[in-house]
Amino acid sequence: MNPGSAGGTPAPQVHEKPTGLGGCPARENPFRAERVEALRFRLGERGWAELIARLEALSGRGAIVGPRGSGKTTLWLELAARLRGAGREVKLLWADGSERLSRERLGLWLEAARGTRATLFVDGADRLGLGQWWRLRLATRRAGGLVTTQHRVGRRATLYRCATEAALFRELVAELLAPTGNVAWLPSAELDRVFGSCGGDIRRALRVLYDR
Amino acid sequence: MVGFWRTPRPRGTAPRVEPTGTVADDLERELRPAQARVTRALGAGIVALFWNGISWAILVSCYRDREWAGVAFLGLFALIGLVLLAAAVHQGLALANPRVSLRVRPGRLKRGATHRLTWHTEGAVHRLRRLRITLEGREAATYRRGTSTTTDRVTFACVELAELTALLELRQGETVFALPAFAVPGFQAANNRIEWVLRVQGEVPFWPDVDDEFGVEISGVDEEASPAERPAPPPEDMTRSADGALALRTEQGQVAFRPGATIIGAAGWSLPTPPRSAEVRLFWYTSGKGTRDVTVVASVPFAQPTSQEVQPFTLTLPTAPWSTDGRLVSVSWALELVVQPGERSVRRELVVSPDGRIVALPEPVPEPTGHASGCRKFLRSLAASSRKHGAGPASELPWSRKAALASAALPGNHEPWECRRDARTTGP
Repeated sequence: MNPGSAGGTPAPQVHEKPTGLGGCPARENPFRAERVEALRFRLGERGWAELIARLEALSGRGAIVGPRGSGKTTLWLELAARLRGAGREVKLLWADGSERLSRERLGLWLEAARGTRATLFVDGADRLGLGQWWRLRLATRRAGGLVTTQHRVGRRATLYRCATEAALFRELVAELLAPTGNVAWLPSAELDRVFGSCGGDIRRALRVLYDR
Repeated sequence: MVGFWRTPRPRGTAPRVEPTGTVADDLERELRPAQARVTRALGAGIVALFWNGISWAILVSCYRDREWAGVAFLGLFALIGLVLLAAAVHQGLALANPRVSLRVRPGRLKRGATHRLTWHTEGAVHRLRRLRITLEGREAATYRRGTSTTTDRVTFACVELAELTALLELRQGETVFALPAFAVPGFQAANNRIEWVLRVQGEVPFWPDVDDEFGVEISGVDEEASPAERPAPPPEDMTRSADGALALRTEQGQVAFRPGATIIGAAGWSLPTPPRSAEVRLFWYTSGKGTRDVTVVASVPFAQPTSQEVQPFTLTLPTAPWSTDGRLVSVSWALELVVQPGERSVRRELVVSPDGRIVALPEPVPEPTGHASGCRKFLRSLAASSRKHGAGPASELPWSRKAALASAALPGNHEPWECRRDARTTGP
């Protein structure tokens, strides 16, 4: 193929993967982000009552602990929503995927939270440096509470420890597939294999299923 | 459904593709690489220097103190540092590669138009064995949840524009091309994007390859579709909320619009008490593997709304993005009437594209390989050099040449660029 000179007009070769090899549009994929994020944390009303009672027993300060993809942020968000629904003031600070919370952003948030009686929710507290953590503790010592998410135990008393299992993963997949009417799209053994290959990280396992 | 307005509004930006280079005039654009080689080399060098400086310093200190456990542990970091150093050297060597500049006319690509691409190579052109220029379309979706951020990318289109081997053609030349039918304007939001790039890949024997990318824009202005292509309007020209209190309609029930078109409609509500505010919003949003982006492009607030009212509105669509279905990212448009308090709303989905249909992107293609691994590239270069100079029987060759030929004969040792040519021959 030698189009080089002016006037040479070979037809551009468009390389596309042949259709029919799987995959559906992003908007129809049952494992798209907005559907995954809409999954509720499996706790039950009794479990929620116990969780809130435990939070009260810890004077409103505790940590939601668990490995990656175990639902910490989901539980964190739902707990904040329940407290807000019960009439309590709540302020949220997202880690937002950044490696370290910027000093400026933390400072702005702490300034807004200073002196408030709201219950403060901090996602990804273990991403805070030691200095940032103590700034946070100092600024929020008079707050109505402080609920954090962490990958490991420490810094705060454990409010709830998140864990995953294959049965939970299968249940979530069934919920996501329900609108498609094809709940048995993948056999349980295959779902268990996907779950195991992702080390129990449900979020990652669902993203694997997205690509299928 | 008020789902969009209960979630925090993300930091979505207006849809755009990063234009690179300068615009000589309205018709032609000179392109520059999206990422300068100097930047890459400097970045790699700084990282390698930092990493090696710290790890080797501590390693040597442990060695002097006879702390063998520390030596063993830090040895791993030192090895990684050597890899980083090799990468930095690789990037540094690439600085000496020939530089290809591109000019495209018209500067903004357009479906249905013929485009002229001109290239000019500066530097040691004679070192180039082959040059390949492709137009690639890509989707990227970033998922952010808690402290986790993951970005997936796929290439859904790879259009080969030129493959050159002759020295004169390598030095400069031009070609003409047209965009494929599924080419949609790119956009960039906080978590999702569709982008188009012109990719230049040059094979340099015994040296890092040339691999530069130039961002290009595709215009959202398109030829008017023939009336026969436009889908019929839906039977309902009005959308009501679940409780029937809110309603949204568009003129003649139209839901398919061309980019840049004007939307004429009316919003109505019937409430027990006057709302605090009422507003119609025109927005686009993404669905797919990445966290959703929502971008409001225009809104019409209604002043001092009463409890029962029907208000006309007129909104103008931008030229991009279009309603698109990709593997990672889908783009949708909608109108929404929102009343406060309570964030009550009703939404009417729209399709924005030249022919009134959602543009379906092709299935992703495997990422075209631009770089062979260092060793394989070296062996392949040796083999090619042997063939060029008429090598004798294998038994007469020194061991290194025998090894090169043996390696070149192995299955899988195909040409470095694999823009899925075989997809045409193998087929489903």
